[in-house]
Amino acid sequence: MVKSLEQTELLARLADEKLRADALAAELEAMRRLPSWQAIEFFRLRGHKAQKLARAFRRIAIFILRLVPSYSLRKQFDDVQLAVLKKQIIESKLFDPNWYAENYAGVGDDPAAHFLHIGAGVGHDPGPLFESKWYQKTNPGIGGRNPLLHYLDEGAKQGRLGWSMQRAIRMQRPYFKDTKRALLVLKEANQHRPFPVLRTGQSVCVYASSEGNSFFKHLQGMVCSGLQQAGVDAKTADETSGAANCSATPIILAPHEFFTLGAGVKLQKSPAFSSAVCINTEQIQTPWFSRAFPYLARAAGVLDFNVQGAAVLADLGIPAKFLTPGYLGGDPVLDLQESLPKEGSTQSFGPAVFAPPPARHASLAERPIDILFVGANTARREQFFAAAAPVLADKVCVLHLTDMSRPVPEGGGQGMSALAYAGLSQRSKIQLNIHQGVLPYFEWHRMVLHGFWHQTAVVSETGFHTPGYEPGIHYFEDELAKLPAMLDWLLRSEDGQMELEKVSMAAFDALRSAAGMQQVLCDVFQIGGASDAQ
Amino acid sequence: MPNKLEAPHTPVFSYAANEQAQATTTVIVPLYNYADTIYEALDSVMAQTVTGLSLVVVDDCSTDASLARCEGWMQHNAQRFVKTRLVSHHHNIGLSSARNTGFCIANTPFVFTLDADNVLYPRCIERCEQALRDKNTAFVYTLLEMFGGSTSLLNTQLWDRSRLARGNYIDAMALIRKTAWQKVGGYAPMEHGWEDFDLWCSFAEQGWHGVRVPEILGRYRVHHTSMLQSQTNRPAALRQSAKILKRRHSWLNLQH
Repeated sequence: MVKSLEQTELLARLADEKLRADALAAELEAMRRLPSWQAIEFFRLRGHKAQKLARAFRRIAIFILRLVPSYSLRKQFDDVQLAVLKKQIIESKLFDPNWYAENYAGVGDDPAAHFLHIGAGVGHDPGPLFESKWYQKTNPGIGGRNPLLHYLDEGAKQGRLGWSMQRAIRMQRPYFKDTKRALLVLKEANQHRPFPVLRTGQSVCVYASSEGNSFFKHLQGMVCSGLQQAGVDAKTADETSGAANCSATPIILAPHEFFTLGAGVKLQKSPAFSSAVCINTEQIQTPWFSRAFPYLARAAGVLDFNVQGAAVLADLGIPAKFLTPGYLGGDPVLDLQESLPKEGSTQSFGPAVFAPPPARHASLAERPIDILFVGANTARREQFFAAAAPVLADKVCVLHLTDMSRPVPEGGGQGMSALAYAGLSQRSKIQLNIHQGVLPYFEWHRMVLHGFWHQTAVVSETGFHTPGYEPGIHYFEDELAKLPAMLDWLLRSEDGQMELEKVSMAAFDALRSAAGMQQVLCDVFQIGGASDAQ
Repeated sequence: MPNKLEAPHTPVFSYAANEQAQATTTVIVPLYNYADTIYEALDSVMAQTVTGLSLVVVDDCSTDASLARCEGWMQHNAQRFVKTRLVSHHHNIGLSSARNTGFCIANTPFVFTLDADNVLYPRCIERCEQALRDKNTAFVYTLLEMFGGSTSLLNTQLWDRSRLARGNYIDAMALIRKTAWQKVGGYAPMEHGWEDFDLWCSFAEQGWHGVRVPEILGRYRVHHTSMLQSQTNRPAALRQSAKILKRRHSWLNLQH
């Protein structure tokens, strides 16, 4: 009985894909018939100088096409093709028919058709997130092609951004500091949209790319441990494991890596992973989030480490919850590291740093390192550290800035292993947080996992808040320019040192007393019938 | 000691503290027409937290007030160091030779190469000495603060021979094991400031490595005018230097 149902489903899917392929072929053919395209093709075959000419010609062609907006996209779509494309853009969660009708005049009673036939051609956005004109401007090679369709078919896979930084900020602005509002939005959304649940005893696989960031592997282990403690038969797996082993919906951590690295590419269209639970760690304005988005859009549910990000996903109609990782005892990485690994990133340290760290509740004064910073090397951060150098010079610092243009595999060359990072955090008085770029996210990994968890005092640049932790009580926060003076005060004055102790203990207590990892996962997946606040 | 690396020179200033005093590191400063920055450089050496420190300045026939200023400074401050020497090359020979002369004069296990237009933060040498332990470590370098033009950092990357093969990414300012310098035959005569790159490559060929200290303990002065000048000479000159380096180190894969 089950087999034939599966078969029917697969056949239906095959028919769907065939229709889509036909529609795309028709679109391509229509484009090829356009005089502008043919003219470009004529020049394209004539070498380098002619390419310049072709580009200029294309620019003129696009300019002209824009003047006569519906010309290039007046579709030869028939009903079947239209239906397929409408389905595609609605499922992408980037086309919102209500938003579209509210924001543009004369849309009529079929907003999706309007967008496909006319709207995209005049640069209308399909929804509050995707930016058609901006996408065209930043990807001039797409010519007269529908920007959203290009993004969905190719652009996202190539890591092209579908929206500007400004748009990413605008989507999140209501939730920057008002985390209560974000949680409310999530709660209301989840009353109308089911979120996957897990039952005790169920077997579930938690996937992460074997070629990805070492941080994600660690997180994968933590999620697995938490689920196991909650009574779920959870296992870790990677892109080579195959899909057959587990009965419950797969959980995929960092889909932007899982589906794009190594053998994971072959799983992009695999039905077994097409409606998984995705755990997203990436910020909305990054190419990694853009790469992940198509998988988030089709996911059965998304768990997001940023409450602002989770709320935005909910606003887009994607089932989402905020995942705030809770405390997990017995974690091999985060427990007290008696010995520090010897690797490139720790090679310069003397015996004082390699010695066992002070006990959990010992005074911070016993920790040999004053200031720790580990993170991606961006111009913004470099500028800060260069300017702060005179204040940092007399303090024992560990400033590890890595080139993050590729994933940093465990122990790889320029990176710092998870064990080394944890070990250094335990031996540091202050964990410093400086934002990568303009968007001031609450950096969960640095502040909670490597700050509060180790009772290391966190000093951060001002930024978004997250539920459960308050600046001034659980961590220090100030404008970038004022941070060097604050660091001086905290480390050199008596008052400052007392504040350092007080705040680091308050943060650790907050982490311990708030839900542990097991409880958090129980709540999110309603394991054992637990009811969820979100 | 390979005497051929010590260019002919005249002693200008010499001072030695009491005979019992021992130094671990000698700071060597090659000097050529940096009268306006030499005080700052030397003051920063004096402010170092290490006690067993020596100082050698090698003047490569400066035509400005560099030599006189250095001599005057040393007369005031020599007692801070175990050994203080100022020598002057007979002829202007170049940066590599000035460094080599300095190395020859130094009689400590470690040598710190400081350019006359750069500056150290006080904990620099102490922290570097701490990191120069392993017998396969030939040198130690720290994060550097660029100043005078941009605010950014140098030396953000760890030692990586395959990264080095694509081009130099480690500044000349470093604490170097004197025996390592000796073993590879010192700095080769190189144009365009690539003599440090050549040294790092020679160390790599011996199976040694550099260790990066993750603290900002030196300041690298950016000169607007000189950068502009070098830009106009860049392509041809760099190609020439690249050729020479490739001959000396066939494993290099420089992109120019």
